[in-house]
Amino acid sequence: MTYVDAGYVVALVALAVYALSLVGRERAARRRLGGQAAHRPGGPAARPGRPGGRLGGGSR
Amino acid sequence: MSSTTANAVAAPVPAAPGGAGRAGHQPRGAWRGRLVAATGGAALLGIAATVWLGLWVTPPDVYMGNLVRLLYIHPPIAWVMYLAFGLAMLSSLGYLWPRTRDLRFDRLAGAAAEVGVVFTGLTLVTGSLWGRPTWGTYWTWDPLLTTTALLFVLYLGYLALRRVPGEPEARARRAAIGAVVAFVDVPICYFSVYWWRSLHQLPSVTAGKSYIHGSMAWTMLLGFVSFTLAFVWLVVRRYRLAGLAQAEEADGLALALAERRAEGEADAVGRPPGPAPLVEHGVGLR
Amino acid sequence: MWRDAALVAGKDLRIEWRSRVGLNQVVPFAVVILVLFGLALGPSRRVLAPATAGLFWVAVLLSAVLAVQRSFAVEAADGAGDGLRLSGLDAGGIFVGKAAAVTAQLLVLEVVLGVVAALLYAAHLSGFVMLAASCVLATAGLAAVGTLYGALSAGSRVRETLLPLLFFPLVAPVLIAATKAWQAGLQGRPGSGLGWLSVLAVFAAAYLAIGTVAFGPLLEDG
Repeated sequence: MTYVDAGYVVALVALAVYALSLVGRERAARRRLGGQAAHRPGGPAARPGRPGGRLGGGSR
Repeated sequence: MSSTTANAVAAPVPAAPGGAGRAGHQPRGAWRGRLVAATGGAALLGIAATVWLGLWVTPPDVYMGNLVRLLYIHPPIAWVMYLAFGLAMLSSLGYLWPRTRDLRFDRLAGAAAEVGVVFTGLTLVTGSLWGRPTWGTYWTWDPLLTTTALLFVLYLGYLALRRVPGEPEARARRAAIGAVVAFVDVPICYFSVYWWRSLHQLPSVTAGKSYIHGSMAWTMLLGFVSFTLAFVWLVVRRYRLAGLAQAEEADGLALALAERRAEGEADAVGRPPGPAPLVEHGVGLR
Repeated sequence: MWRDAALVAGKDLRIEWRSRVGLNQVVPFAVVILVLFGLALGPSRRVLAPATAGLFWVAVLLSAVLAVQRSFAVEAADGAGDGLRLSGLDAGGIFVGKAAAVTAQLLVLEVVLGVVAALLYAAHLSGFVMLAASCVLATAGLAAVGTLYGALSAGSRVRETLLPLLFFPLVAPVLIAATKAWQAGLQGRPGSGLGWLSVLAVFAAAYLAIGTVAFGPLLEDG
């Protein structure tokens, strides 16, 4: 593997891992928030105006 | 595909927050989500095209040979680094300015700084990989290189400062002041390293510059555009995640209060309190 | 504001003088670092003498973190920080006072350390005015940054590790400039250090100004 290949591989892999980790963390956070809403005494109506289940259109 | 998964998880509650939120915010939210998705898709396509053009289509350079191919990604990544830290600085100032004080600026600053740190790391790695065959060494104490390395450490510290727990407003203020303090250091640092090394004849970053034309210029331009788009997409996603973390924190607090209240009522009735509902709190998410 | 600064600086220095933690622990610590550098680099005079300026300043940086931590540990005990917040003193004055107290302690430390370094590394302390001027300017910058970051990280449970991480990268220009100024002084051509003195002065002025403005909001957090 040349230096050039190594540079491309490192850059692309790092960016992909970071992007996927963001998507995964966001999904986990939404799941937790949804779970909490079920337990919440006031019900989900107590939390209006939050951007809901839409996850950025699923580009990945 | 991701949206269906999320809705399936939230489905047990009849009026899931996703449904309620969507009913109220349908036109604007959906439009914005589509724009973000389009940005991400364009960035993905652009980077793929840059890689294809850079590695296979463009000819090797007369002077640098195949090493010129690293110049299709290294300068765009470095440019995104400056863009990210500039954005972090501006939004920190936006938070500190009393008239525009808003936690959204704080989240934006944090998102931009985190993406910036990722791109700074990549700038250093791709730069080193270019420097090794060109200058014969992975590292040289060039002003630009040294300042970039210090930037990396400075903003790692900034991210660590952001992770210190506390009231959201207090945390945001600390982070914003920390960002300004760190940013002021950058020019001082650059000039002191510049004078420090000025006695020595060293390879500078511009030394390897050669005449760029035709397909090479277009490939580089495409690299700039697509990495900038990737930056926008990453910052938006990171910003949204920070918003969720904040909502989760607030929810966690409300939930804990409700639980304590329920326990108190159960005790008052004289019944032993049942096992408290186990809910994951947002540890490690911020 | 200046009166408040003098009050706070006097208070901090009195506390330090009574406890003598700085004198009994920080100064010996710095001397140990100089000895360790000597051991790491070997006994050769040709290696040690040219490195004297750099090693001296690294030892000062390491001790500066301790001095700053000490300065805020004093406020953390017995709710003293709340007392300071409620005292009605000008926030900028508190900042300048705390920074001045740290500066004074570090200057004492630098005198001791300079003598020890000259003995251990067989360096010749010439160009005294240049050495002293760079000490004052560099230490003012270090103390300003240290006090700012000390207040930023004070009260958090991770402050012992957070402060060095924030502090060291930021004071890299001070390390460069102060080392070059000292080298100029030690090599007997103090004129070539004047540019570095101006770097130190700009750094100190910038962070004293930022600290004076930003300390009020920081104190509110607690």
